[in-house]
Amino acid sequence: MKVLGVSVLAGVVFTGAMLTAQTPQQPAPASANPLSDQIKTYFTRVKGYLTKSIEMVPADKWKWQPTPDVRTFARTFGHISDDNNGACWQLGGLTAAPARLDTPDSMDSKVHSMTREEVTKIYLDSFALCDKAFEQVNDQNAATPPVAGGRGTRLGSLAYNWAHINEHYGNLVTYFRLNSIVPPSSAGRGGF
Amino acid sequence: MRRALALILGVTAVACSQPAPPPAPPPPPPSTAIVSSLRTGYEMVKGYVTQAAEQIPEAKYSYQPTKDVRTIGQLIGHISDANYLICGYSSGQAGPGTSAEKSMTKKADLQKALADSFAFCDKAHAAMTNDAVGGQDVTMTVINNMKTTRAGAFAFNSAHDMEHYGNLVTYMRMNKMVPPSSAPAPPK
Repeated sequence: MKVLGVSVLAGVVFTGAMLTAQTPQQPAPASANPLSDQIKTYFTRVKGYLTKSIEMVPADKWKWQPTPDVRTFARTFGHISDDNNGACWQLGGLTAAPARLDTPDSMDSKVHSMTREEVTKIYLDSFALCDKAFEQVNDQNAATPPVAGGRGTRLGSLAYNWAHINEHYGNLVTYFRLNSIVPPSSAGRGGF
Repeated sequence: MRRALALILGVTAVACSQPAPPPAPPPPPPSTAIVSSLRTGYEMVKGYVTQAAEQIPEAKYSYQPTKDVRTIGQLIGHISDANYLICGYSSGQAGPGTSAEKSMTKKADLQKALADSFAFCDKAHAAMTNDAVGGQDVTMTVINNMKTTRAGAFAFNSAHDMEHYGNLVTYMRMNKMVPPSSAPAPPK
């Protein structure tokens, strides 16, 4: 993600070029919700990187950490689940607050007593909860507070969650590189 | 007839004695709720990155945990360059097109570049209102001609800074430093 998802965009451009050869080019219809749709698009991109990331961690690295003072791979995914759940239940008001996963803040974290499959399911479910909450945000209600309370606006809450999980994707990029693994956002760009 | 005339004059006099209707209230100021909520996230990451740049000693600016990633100095330079670029898109006022990442290695130079780039972003967003952030009216030419709203570009900058702050957090921890976001709150 060094300069922002170039590989994904390159894929979109390439696919677009293929379609152009077959059909007359039509201008993209203007979005009815340009503000909220744009932030959702960005969130969807980092969701893709993070979904790929949990698949890419080798089995023997699941509890790896670069230094004892930071989360393991497993705990980072648990923490991202907590971030998503914390922000998105409040944004959409669709569920009660889900239980935290990465607690306590130590190697005794609940995450470490669960299987990788269990953690992965909760992680993917947290993104699904956000998708549902984000579907309810449009440009008409973007400036109103989150449904279940909280500070700021719905659009701000959406943007904050995106930025927060981006921070933890930034942690993971370094973890991957320390293990000689090319992170998803850099794949397809010559590995750098 | 006289009676009717008197009646009309009486009614007119009563009507004329009614107070004039109050002037229409001024229109409310443009809402800044969306911009304010986006600014909250921006201010947070600006504080974290600025403090991290201050906290990391000069000798560690050339540190990189592995050869495939940026050094600390390059990360600070990259954030500075991106601030100018992306805040230029969100404000419509192009930045100076710096390349601090490639040209600077000294802590003082990079800290100044970082502070100047955040000042540019502060100014870019200072007068923004909700009315000014909508519409797909921004093309981020250096970022694959991505079309976005001004609010989208503003939020994009904060998220980009957060990603690289996430890099810095791990670098700092590997050097036994507590990153600003984990530091205990100052005593009240």
